[in-house]
Amino acid sequence: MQDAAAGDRDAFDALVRRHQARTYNFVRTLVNDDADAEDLAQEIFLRVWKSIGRFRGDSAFRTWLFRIAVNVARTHLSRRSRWRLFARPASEPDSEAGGAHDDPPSPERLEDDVVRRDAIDRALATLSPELRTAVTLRDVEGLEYREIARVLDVPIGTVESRIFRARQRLRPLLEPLVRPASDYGEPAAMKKEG
Amino acid sequence: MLTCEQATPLVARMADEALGVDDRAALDRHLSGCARCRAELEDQRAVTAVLRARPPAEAPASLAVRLAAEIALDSAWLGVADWRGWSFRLAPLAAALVLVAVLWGGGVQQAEPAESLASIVETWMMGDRTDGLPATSVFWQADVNADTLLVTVLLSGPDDALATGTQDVTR
Repeated sequence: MQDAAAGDRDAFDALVRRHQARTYNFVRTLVNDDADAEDLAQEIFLRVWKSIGRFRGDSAFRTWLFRIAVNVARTHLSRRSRWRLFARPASEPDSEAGGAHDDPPSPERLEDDVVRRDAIDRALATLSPELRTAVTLRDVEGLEYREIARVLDVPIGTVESRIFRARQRLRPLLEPLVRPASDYGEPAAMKKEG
Repeated sequence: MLTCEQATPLVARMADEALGVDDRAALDRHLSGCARCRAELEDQRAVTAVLRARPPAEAPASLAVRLAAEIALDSAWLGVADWRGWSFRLAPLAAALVLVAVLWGGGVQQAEPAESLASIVETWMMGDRTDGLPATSVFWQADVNADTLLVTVLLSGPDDALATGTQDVTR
């Protein structure tokens, strides 16, 4: 980390290799588009490269990286939503927001990873960026509540409230994907928080 | 005993197993008497389970290649544009220039300060008048009219009657 901060390109490449899969996956969840996700992941790491010398180390690198990712995705979503508002006729529904209800995949198709992921991402896309980001950081990325508060720069109570409301809205949309609890096995490696 | 509103954040945390022991005991007491919050907890758990099991999207191989190219380009520009790099490398040259300036400046007599714009304007306005009033004082005379002013402005200059105040323009 120190070497990368000092401008060592090899050290930075190693840092990218370690974090790029997760960063791409996170941003893909937020923007629900492969090409946009790739562009944004590139922009995120480019920003990291440009500002890593100023990274003070007073938070974990992961927290700092997620913070940059959230900011980049937020700017993109805001720009995209303005553009869609401008480009779409008023009578036409927002394809992003309405997508979760269109042609739900059959139970057989939902066994396919890509179809399943797509169904989840379409449901997430119906949420506001604030709710989507909070619930993604918690339930998809497995960050602690405290860390999410640091990434989003909001009080921890706001994080709890956003996650609660996001799940409430997702529940009917994810109904076809809900399995009996026993099917999921042990939960992912998510630490308990005191 | 918690109210439903107070229980809400605890329900969210209980659903993803992020609840401390004390909070859990308090929430358990509330849940034992609140069917609505129990149902909410089950819904929250169901969503959490689905999201945790979301198959991750794999980063395309092109990402690393594009990023490497972008960083190489950015580094090349930074090498040229980074003022810190320039200033560091140019420090000896800057020091030499300062030294030359000091040595050369010591042998040259300091030039007279240039006449200021304010003094030029003042000279133009006052001309040779000795009454302390500027030539433009004609503009705020009470009985001046527009035609007179126009003629005055068009015909007069710093050295003629207006500037010296010898012509009665109000006539």
